[in-house]
Amino acid sequence: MATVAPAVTHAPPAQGLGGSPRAGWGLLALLLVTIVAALCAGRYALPPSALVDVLLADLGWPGIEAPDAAARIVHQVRLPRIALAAIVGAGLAISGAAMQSVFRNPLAEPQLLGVSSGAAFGGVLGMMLSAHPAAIVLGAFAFGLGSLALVFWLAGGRGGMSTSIVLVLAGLVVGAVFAAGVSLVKLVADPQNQLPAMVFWLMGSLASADAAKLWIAAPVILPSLYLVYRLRFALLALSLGDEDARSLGVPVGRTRALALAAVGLITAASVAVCGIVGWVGLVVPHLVRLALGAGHRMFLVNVTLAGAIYLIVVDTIARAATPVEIPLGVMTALLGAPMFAYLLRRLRAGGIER
Amino acid sequence: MTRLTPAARRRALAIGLPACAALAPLAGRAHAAAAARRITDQTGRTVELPPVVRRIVAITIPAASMILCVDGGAERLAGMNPASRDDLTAGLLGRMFPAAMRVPSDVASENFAPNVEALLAARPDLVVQWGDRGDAIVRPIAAAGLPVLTLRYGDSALAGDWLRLIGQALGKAERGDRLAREFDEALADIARQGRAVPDAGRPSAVYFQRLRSALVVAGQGTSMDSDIRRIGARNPAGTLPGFTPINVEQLMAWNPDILLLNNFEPGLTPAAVQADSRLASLRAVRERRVYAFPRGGFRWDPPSQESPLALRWLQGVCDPAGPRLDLRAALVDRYRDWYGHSLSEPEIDGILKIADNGGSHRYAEWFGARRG
Amino acid sequence: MSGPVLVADDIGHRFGAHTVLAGVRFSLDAASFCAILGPNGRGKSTLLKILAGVLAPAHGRVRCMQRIGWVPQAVQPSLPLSVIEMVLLGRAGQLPMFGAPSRDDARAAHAALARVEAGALAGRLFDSLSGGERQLVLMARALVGGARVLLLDEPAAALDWHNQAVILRLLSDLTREGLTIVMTTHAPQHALDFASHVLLMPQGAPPVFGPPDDVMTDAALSDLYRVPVRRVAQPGLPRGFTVVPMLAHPAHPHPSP
Repeated sequence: MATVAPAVTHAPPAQGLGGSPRAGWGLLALLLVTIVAALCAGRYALPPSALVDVLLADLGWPGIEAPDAAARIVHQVRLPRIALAAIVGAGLAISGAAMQSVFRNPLAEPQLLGVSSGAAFGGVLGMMLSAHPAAIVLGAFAFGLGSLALVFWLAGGRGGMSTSIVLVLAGLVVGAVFAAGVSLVKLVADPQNQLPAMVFWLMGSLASADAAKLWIAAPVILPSLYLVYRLRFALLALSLGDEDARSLGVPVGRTRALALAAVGLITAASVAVCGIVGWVGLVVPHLVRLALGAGHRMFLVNVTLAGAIYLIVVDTIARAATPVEIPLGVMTALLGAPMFAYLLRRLRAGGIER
Repeated sequence: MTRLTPAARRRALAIGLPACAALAPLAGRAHAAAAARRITDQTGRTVELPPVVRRIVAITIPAASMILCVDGGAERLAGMNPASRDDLTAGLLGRMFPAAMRVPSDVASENFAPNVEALLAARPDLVVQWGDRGDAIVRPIAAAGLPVLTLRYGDSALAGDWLRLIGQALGKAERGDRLAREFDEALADIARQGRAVPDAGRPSAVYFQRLRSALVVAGQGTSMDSDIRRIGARNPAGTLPGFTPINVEQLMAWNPDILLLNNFEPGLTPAAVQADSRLASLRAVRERRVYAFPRGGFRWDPPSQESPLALRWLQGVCDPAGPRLDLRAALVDRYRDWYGHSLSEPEIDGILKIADNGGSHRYAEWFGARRG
Repeated sequence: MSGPVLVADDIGHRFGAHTVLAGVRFSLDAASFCAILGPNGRGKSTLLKILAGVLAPAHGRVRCMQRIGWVPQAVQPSLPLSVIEMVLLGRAGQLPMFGAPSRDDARAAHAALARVEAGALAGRLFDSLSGGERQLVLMARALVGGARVLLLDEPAAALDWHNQAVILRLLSDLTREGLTIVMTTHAPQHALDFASHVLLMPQGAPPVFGPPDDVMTDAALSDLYRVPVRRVAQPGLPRGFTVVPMLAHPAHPHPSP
């Protein structure tokens, strides 16, 4: 009878199979609370009673008259902004988690693919060539997808045997080329009008969120998000390394290609509707891992919900804390970097966290 | 070579030396006079000028149009800011002074950074540059051996002094001084009237440096902020630093009485603002008190030689009773003095943007052409 | 099931210009225990990867009639996996690409852990385990996928004697249940005590395959390890003897190139 060697290490017990659904329900409740709180917050003083009136009037409650200004604030300013923040936050967070699995690196985040640089280039190019606001969105999305295709082509795989390292390098190259392109466009743009607009857009902002942008972002981001969620087990295998995953029978190339395609779509759509917002994909997965554990069954769900909450909170601060509209990308960096520094210290001190 | 006999040589010296001695002081004085032209510019620098400035380069805006105004033409304008060419084409100045369109505009980039080689190629006797944006845009010009006249920005009142300085530099001190005096008096008058507005009666006005791609308003330290306060109105954005982005909510929280639109954004008209559904609940939009800044010889939003008229216009749109003088008549009078040009009625309509602003609150009544 | 379950057909491989394997031929029936012996750098791990299907050989082919489970020497997960998740991953091959494990899969994982007597480790973090515990978990992972052929890369390499015993006895039990085991090892004693077949991979000579009694002669082992190797009789051992390297002995009479 073989006996098990006595445990030499005394590490704390991890989650069993994949985290309890309780954490997921908790996050969902927190998301709803955050949405309501964000609807109440803002530079325009909206009393909660007015908010209730507006919402009841929306639901068709008889006899409720919502004041015009309040209704406009809720419908045209806050609600689209909150919804877009939720969708983009969820998408970026789950993209970060996927990247960390695919590239087996806790520092991986969506910008590594070079898609955000490509989308940025498309956006400023659209801004330079046309005054129509749709030009930015279309340009960013088109070039974002184009740079994704370029990365795949460079890395030599469409489900083939492209390795992670080659993908990272391809992403770096494509990202660098398009970043140079952005600088070039900024150089030749009209400094009085176009250049300040470009600089502002590049810093990321949800200030111009509206229903149209929701209709663009949601149909791209939500299905991609779902795709990554369905790949969760295969991605877990991928995080062990190509050889190991292959030996387990996981189609490594195809899984990686699908996951990165989803990440690319999410990134391109995000940049198209709100400029460059970084640090979400990097910080949120680690925060969730730290607080709720990494069991695969619920991890990606938790990350999605946490990402939505995170970006709603950050955007609400950006639009409500001061009279000045702080660019979203600046806020996520200001909050994300110190948070990540703290996470790094916890990682170093305690080994990989529970 | 003629050979002077010793006697002739002695005679030549006898006449020549005293003559030189007699003339020496005169020559000295002339030399001193050539070096004596010095003026102190707006940052306190002493600028050494040649006796006659024949070629002047204007990197600041609106120095080029000011030179056209003071000098009566473009003959001495040797270089200008690329944005000035845009101003000339879009405004009346290009039609009033067609020669100005041929002035080279490669001497600096639009952010006022000088291109030293192009500057030297223009062979200027004087270069006009901003003095309060850092030494990096001034030093290369001085290092190339060119005299630099530096100006300060931030308040329309400073523009009066620009007229004075340019007049001195061009040897037209009398005209420059007179224009500056009239400028200062007009501004002082407006300021006095502004102070007399009772606190309760001060409307709130917000100027948008950008409106379509993002909302950027003029806050503390901008000339638009000081202009709004000078005429006796309030600027809710006055607590914010410089030109700052805000979001729609903040604008709705301020709910200003009047919205002022810039001259830079293509397609920005009161009609476009009225059609924006997010702004529809603003008081200014409901009352149609949305006005686009006029564009005369020069855009009226930033400070220029036309600021007295611009401020009268601003005073007019912000006052519920309308303008205190006949702006159209004042335009005709001033343009004759400034540019030697007789304005036609359609030209005045163009300057005041009757077409774009005509739908706004009482604009046609206040600023439209009198019939009959 | 009669007949061979794992056949290696003239396998060769090279990395660039450097030939790592040449002429590897063998055939294993069910319930065999094959030990692959050879010093470092002779391509043992490479051969195992080829047998597992992870690496494509430059020459020759592998035929396997049953499901293979590969147990690598070490796994470096980049994410904090729990032990039970690691075992569950063994089912990945049976799940569609978009699938996730079901309750049945979870039950099978627990059963596999229990089979290797590591059931108590289920909730632990994989990274917090000792070397021996990790080997057990990886074996459970290979078993949960229903593998009947296990390929293990130096499973006893970094373990102390007790854990070596645990692992090797477990492998022996598995062969009695009909599984086929192929493992690489540094220690000839493992082969002598447990293996039914041995594959020697000497430098510059074709590999030799056969039962340990035939293949593991003093001369062959001395050649293999380039150190004199002698048998030492020891009643109580399965074959009655073990082999020891004469490390302090002066230079081997047949120096290798």
